[in-house]
Amino acid sequence: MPDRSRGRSPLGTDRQRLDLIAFLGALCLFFSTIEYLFPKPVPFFRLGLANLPILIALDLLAPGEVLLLVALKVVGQGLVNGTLASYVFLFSAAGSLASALVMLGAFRLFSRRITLVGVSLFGALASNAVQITLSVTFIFGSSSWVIAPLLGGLGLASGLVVGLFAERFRRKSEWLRVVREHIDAA
Amino acid sequence: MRRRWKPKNRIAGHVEPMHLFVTGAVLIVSFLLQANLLVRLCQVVLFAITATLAGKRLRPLYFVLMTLSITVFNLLTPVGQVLFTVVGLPVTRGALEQGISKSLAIIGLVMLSLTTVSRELQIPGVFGGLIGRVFHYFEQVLEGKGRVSARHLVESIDQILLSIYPSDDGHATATVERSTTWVGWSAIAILVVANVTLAILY
Repeated sequence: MPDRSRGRSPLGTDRQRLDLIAFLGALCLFFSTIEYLFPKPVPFFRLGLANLPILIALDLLAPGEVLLLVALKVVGQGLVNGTLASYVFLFSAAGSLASALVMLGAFRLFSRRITLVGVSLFGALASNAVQITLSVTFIFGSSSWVIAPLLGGLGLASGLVVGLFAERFRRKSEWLRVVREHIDAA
Repeated sequence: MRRRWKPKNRIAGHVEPMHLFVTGAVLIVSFLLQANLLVRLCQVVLFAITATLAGKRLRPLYFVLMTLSITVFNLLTPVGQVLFTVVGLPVTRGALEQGISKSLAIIGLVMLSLTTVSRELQIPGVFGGLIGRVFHYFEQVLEGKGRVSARHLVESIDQILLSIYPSDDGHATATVERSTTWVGWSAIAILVVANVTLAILY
C-alpha cells in the first residue's frame, strides 16, 4: 500500500523533490496536449487529463509540494497556451487550486477508504463549483445558472473518467513503481 | 497521429519575450478603457492578426460560440429599448450592447495574451527556475508524443515516462537570448500609440 504519512515528504533531498515536482509539472502539460485524442461532447468541455499527475502526486508529495505542483501546472499551461494574461488563467488557477485543496483534504481525511476515483470526483466538484460561479459572475450573468446542472454533470463525468484512468495508472504503471523504489532508496 | 497546422512565429525574431509581455500589459489597459464597440471590435481583429503573427493557431468556431453564448445569456435580462422579439424573447438594446461588449472584451484579452505570452518568457526567482525545469522535461516527454496510443494509453505513456525519468542528466536548461530589433521596437511603438490614442479619443 502507498505511504500516506501526513505531511511527510517521501523524497530524499530538496533537489530530488523539486526535480520530481518539475517532472510531474511537465506531465501535466503533456496530458493537456494529448486531450485532443478524445472527442468533445460540447465545445467548451475539457476532460481535465492535466489533473492526472496531481492525483498521482497525492501519494508521493507533501501537501505544500502538491500545491507547488498545481502552481507549476497553471503557470506552465498559461505560458504554453499563451493565456497567462487572460480570464482563462484566472479560471484555471481558481479551479485548479480549489480542486487540489479538496482532493488533498479528501485523500487525507478518508485515507485508505477512498480510491483515486472518489478523490477525482471530489476535485471535479470543487473545480466546477468555482468555475461555474466565476463564469456566472464575470462572463455570462445570473441568467446562466440554468445551465449550471449540465456543466456540473459534465464536470463530474470528466472527473470520473480521469479518476478511473488515474486508478488504473496507479495500479499498472511500471514507471510509478520505479519512482517509488527510487524514492524509498533515497 | 493527426498533425495540426500551426502558423510560423514571425514576432519572436524581432521582440524579446519580456518586452512583448510588458507591451501586452500596456495594451490591456488601453483595450479595457475602450467604450466604443466598433473600435473595440477593430482592436480584437488587430489582436487576432498579431496572435497569428506570434505563431498561435486560432479556432474561429470557439470564439463565435463564445460570443453567441455570452450575448444570448445577457439578452435573458432585458435592459433598455426593445429592438425586436425572437421566439417570445424581447431583444433589448442595452442587453445586446452589454453582451457584445463583454464578449469582445474577453476574446480581445485572450488574443492579446496569445500575442504577448510565450514559452520563452523567463520568470525570475526559484519558481522561474522550476518552470524552466518543467519545460526541459516537457520537451523530452513531447518527443515521445507520437508513440501515445489511445487504445493502450497507460502502457504507451508508461514506456515514454520510463525512458525519461528518473535520470541523472543535471539541470541544464537551454535558454535562447534574444534582443528586440528596431523592427520590433517600431511595431511595439505603433501598437501602443495607436491603442492609447484610440482609448483617449473614444
